[in-house]
Amino acid sequence: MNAGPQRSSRPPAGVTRRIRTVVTTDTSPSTPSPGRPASSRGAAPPVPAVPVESGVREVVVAAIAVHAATAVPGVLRMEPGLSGLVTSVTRSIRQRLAGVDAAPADGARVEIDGGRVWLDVAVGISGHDQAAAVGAAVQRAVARAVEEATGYPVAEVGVAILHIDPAGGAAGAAGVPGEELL
Amino acid sequence: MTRSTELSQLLLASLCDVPGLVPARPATVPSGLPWDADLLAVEVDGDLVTMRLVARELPLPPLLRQASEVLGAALAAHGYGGVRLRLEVADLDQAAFGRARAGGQARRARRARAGTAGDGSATRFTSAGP
Repeated sequence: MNAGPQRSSRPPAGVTRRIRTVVTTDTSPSTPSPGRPASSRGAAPPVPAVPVESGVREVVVAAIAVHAATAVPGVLRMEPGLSGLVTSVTRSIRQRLAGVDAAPADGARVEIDGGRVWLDVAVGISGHDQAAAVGAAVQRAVARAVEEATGYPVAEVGVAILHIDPAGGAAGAAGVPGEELL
Repeated sequence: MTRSTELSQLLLASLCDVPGLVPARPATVPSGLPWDADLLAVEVDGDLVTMRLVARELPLPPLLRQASEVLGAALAAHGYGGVRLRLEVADLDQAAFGRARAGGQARRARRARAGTAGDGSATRFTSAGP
């Protein structure tokens, strides 16, 4: 099931930039801050500001999305699929960083284009919940979490339910209080 | 010491003033090297200096704003006004989710103590691509 809307504005898959930093922000300080040497020296000549831009890799946005999705009641786990597992292995080899317990990003695919974020998440859910309701709750939770944590506007969240556990599992065991299905 | 190493060390030292961001040091670097492996988090290519970071706090916009101010000021103060600095959040530590709520509360408390309740403005991330 795909709970996402039509993707008329989505860029063609072939031209989407892959896993690299894709969105940048000019975060150069526009006004002197108290911590800046230039402003704290009084009569000292003004120091030219250094232009600073910042970016966030797609894997960071994916990790935020995964954390939000797995917290929705009814979601049992992420379903990375075969391609996701390959991506995960590649990431573990190439991006293993010292002293870092990297947040899991498996099961979410992120594309950033034109300053907006498109996400696809694949989940397994409990059979005790309505699939459409869980999917919609995942959409809301992921969009809100990504926008709050990164500042990037979310254009679309596609939710694929790849598995429904008829036994139900522990639906909502990891749920966020206050997150309603409908 | 080369200009590149000096610049990298300056950035790494300044980053200590930004809690929540650490240099993204590859774990595959063998231990026991006679030099600081954190230097691998900084890449100097002409006038463009790229620093790869791991976030240990959320949300990212205030963290990146603070890092821009601190690192930009350090570069300018040491005569590196001609460089362009690019901060790249390369990965997210699992601990960030545990600290997201606490970090937001701490920032609000700091603003309240400083008497600045915030102007409500949010960083808008815009594409700098071609």
